[in-house]
Amino acid sequence: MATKPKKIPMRFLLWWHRHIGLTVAIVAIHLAITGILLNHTSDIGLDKAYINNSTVLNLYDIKLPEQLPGYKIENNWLSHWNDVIYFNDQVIAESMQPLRGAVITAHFYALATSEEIWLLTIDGEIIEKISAPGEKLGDIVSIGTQGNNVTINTEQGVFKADNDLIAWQPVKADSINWSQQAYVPKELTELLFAEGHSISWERLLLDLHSGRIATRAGTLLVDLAGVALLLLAITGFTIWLKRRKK
Amino acid sequence: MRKYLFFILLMVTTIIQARGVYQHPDAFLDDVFSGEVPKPKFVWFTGETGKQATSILKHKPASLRTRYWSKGKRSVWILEEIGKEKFITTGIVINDNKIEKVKVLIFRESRGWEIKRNEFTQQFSNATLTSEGNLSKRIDGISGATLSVKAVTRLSHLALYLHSIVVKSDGN
Repeated sequence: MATKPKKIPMRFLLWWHRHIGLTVAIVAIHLAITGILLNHTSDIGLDKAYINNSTVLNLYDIKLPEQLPGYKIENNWLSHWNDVIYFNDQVIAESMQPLRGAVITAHFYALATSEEIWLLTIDGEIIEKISAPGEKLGDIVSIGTQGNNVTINTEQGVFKADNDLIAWQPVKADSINWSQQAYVPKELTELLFAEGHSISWERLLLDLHSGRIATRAGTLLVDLAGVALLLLAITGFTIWLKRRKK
Repeated sequence: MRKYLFFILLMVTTIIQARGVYQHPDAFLDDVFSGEVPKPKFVWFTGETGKQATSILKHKPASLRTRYWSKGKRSVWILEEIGKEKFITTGIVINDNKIEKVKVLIFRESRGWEIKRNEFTQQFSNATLTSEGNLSKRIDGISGATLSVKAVTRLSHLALYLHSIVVKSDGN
């Protein structure tokens, strides 16, 4: 004779439902608030708003080195931090390639990343990005000038450009004024750090929602909360069914 | 076990495929002009050209001028536009006021790489500018790549407009 499956006592279910509910309440509120905000980040501009708080930035291991390397042309500083190239404190554009130097010619400023040369106005506006030398000449190591012409030192040797930076000719490395790296003044370094431009509020919300902000422990906590919410739903549904039968 | 390994390998390959340099702009130009690349010329985004470019891109162009390469009725444009967060570099060939070829050259975004597929880029073939200055063809989107699709569509529209400007100024 088959034995009847043992029924789960109502008191047992209620106890678990209550305690799971109380335990998971704070995490559920946290998930609900961050979830609602995440659904509307574009509408309220959180995807374009960046965090300036150094404590929060420290959570992402974003620390400005004590001295930020850069290149000075006339009275302007060009620097590269956190995948962004700055003209003084102004963002020029994002670049994942390292900054190799900056020079001034008769008509424009020119900066070099490892793969591109950007021509800039004296106000730091991009005239043009030139990626042409990359494939044929290899990565750019440094940039300089010979007279008014831009020269680059690449993996394939030293090359000099014509006035419009269209054609590149090999040249001897004599009498070239290479761009020299220096350190950005402290005041400007602090300003760049304060302006951030790195972690958006959307990213922070996403990491808070997933628990990733607190690395593995945070993710695990959110995972456990997810399981607890599942149990809450199951026990709640079972209690409702049992009461309905009565 | 082998099935799982296959799927893991497939996923890794897909991620590797997503970002990167599909073709260097120099190699694209060499292909288009069969190795005899003409000297580039410039178009400045000033005055009416700047206004129209801003209207097509829905924002100010990222630079003050762009290069183009032309021979006969053909012109080639290497243009960049942001999909969601990063620039997508695209090569566009215009021949006799029609799009001959669109090719995604460098893709830096983490999502939306499907736009590099020929099935997508071939949709632009033979597209022209309408009398109102719009793109003559409707481009079908790709699920999950909406922003990248829009970026390449805007660049194709811009290339057709810039071609029409240089044809007038060069007297072709």
